[in-house]
Amino acid sequence: MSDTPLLDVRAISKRFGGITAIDDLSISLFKGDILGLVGPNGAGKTAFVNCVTGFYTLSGGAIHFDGRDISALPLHQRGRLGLARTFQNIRLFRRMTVAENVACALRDHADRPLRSLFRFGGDAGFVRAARDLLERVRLADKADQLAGSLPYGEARRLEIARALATRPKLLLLDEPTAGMNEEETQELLADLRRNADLIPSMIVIEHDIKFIRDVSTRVVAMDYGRKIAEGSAAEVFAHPQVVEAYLGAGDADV
Amino acid sequence: MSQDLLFLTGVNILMAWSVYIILLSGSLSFANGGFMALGAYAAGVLTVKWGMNFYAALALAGIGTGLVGALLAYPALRTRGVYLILVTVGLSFIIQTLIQNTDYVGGVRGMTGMMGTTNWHVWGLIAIVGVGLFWLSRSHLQRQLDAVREDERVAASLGIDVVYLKVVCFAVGAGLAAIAGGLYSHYMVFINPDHFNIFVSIYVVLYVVLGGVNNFIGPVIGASVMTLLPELVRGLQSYRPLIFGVVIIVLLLVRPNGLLSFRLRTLGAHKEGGA
Amino acid sequence: MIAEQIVNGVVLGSMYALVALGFTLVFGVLDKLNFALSELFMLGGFVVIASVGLGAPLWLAGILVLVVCGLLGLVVEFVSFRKFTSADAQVTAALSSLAVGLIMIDLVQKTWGGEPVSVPVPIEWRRANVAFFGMQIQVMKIVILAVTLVLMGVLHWLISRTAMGRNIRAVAESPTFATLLGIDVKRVNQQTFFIASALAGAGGLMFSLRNGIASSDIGFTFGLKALAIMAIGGMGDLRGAVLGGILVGVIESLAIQFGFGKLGEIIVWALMILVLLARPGGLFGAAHTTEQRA
Repeated sequence: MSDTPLLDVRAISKRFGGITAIDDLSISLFKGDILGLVGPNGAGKTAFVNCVTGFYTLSGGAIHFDGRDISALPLHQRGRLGLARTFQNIRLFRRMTVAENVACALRDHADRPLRSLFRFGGDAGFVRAARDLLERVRLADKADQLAGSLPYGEARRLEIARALATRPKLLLLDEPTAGMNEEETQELLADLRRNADLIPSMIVIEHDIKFIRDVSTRVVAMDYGRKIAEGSAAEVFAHPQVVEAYLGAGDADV
Repeated sequence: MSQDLLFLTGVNILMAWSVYIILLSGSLSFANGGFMALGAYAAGVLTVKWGMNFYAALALAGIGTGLVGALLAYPALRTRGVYLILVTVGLSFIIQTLIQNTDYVGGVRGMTGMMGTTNWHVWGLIAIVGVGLFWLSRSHLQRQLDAVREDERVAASLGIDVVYLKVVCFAVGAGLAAIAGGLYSHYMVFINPDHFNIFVSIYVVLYVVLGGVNNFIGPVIGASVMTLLPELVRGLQSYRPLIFGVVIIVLLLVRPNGLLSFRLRTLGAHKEGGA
Repeated sequence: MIAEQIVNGVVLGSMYALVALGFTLVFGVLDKLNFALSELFMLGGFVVIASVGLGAPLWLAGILVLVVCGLLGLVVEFVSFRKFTSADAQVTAALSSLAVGLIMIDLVQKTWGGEPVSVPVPIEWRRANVAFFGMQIQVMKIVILAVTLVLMGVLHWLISRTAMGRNIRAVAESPTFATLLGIDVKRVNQQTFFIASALAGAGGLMFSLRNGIASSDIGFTFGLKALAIMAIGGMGDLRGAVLGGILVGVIESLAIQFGFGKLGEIIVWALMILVLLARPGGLFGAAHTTEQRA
């Protein structure tokens, strides 16, 4: 089935009142792809993630995922189909413990929550699964702390572990290295590589161009809600429109 | 302590739990006085006018009101925060006014003839619901509910069916309030719509706010303290609303999560999870 | 008869509108519900009784209502809203103001007892009628309408023409932005509470003059309806509060006329629920859809 894309975004648009956040955008992604999404601030990258995961309703176009039209599906059904994400401004369940943050996202009884009331074997399975995921992101020793007490870098890793707990088919990371120094960024890269077995496909929004070069198999550049370039990292970052968009936005990283 | 006081305390604990159960999914309901009224009248009609067995009547009143609650919840839960407060306040008034205008149950004059509740019924039910809530507090479901309460959009994106959980909580809470109402009417023998005015709903919410919103013991403490304290301390009785109001205001300023603010953890160390 | 009921409805609705204006002002500026307003409405009548009891003429009593209720509004702001500024504290502030309302009811009952108290208005005031297009209308109702119109006019002038009004509008638009402009948000909040509470008190004053009594339970039997009217008119929409108040007043009067009796009381709440579900922006506002917060 490698000829049908896992994610097929067909000419979507998103408008808020008179403002167009996304304009006639088409992106497709195959199983195994790691797509880097770049562009200046306000280019519509986060809006794109919000449209795919269901945080925004589309103003036009359609999104197909895993062979299904998900354009009208509510958030939780998209989550169950295998879409999981992290947030630019970290959104953990701050008053729950680190382990609980992961455990609440674990799939259970074919998603019939009331069934969990009739489990008499205790929580051993959840404890083990949560612990395993926390070990994968080097947070096992913090399992019983409150999520709200974690420092920035650890909070980002916990958010990734929580997303992985849903066993996603496609993971969407929104600026995972924002606010991190070079060393932390490298560690995060190592974390993602180490857990590649749990990440079949991924979309990463990043400003750190080195990170994008290292991680992605393909890159899409956006500006003003449109796709302005697509291809390998080298191709995209050499594209005149991309260079212009970045310089125009006063970003000297290129 | 008198039998009546013990009974009243028990009913208030059940009512506080009915609010707490709805609050588990993050919705604050000011309609529980109305659901209590529905249960009180439904059970009363079933036993007095239809001659049904007391227990069957209670169960039927509870289930029926729970279903009504679910039907109302589905649209009502599209609103949240203060909007949901407004909608539930509205439901409370609508239910009360409908009963006042229903001659079959006596209208504003009220209804009489219900009997058969003892303190055993009330406290037995408290034991059952208490065990249930304890069981829930250790479950995966509780964890998902906590996630919904913290950030319902994020919880939904993880695959948790937020609307379903909210409707279920609303229905169960409404059903419990109805059963508390049925017990109340069959103890008091006589009821009228004024017994279930908006203040009942407000007071019950404030019991929960006072005792603590994060664990199932808090509502018990809130309901017990506010029912018993004014009765047991001489001279306080006539100052009940005043004391209650002041306590709530001060508490919201200094301890916004209530007296018992800890949250029970669903995993790992079972110690308190911070304020 | 129907015309007379419509006039009655407009009179009733104008009282609702005054309180609804208070609710909607506070909501517009702070995004919060001030439940105490319905009890300040209730207090309006008792302030008249107290001031007349102390020997004040009725016109002075009327002014005292505005001042006393306004000042009590400042107390409510300090106790229930000052500390709860974040958006998360919306419900906390609502609960706290509810508790303040409970205290007000209790204090009134401690002072005047639980039964309605008659308001010392000369009986000939309440009896006097004028003919108007073939209808007999009580002078009192005309006075109520006139005073309400004046108050609404003053409010409109305050909000749209004065520096204070400009600041209030700025904070309602965006508190953060207003702070950047150098506007003292705390002061604006206090001004808003004073005005809103004075309006609620004025509504209570009118109500007690029309009915000749003040009663400790009208806060939740009548005052809370203004909360529903605010939602019907659109939360934060001043024009909507006035139109909603009059609409509900007329509907209720007609419901009585056509023999629905107390069942008419349901209409306002049912209408509110429908509006909140179907047109959260209010019945009269533009039907704007709001994207759910991401």
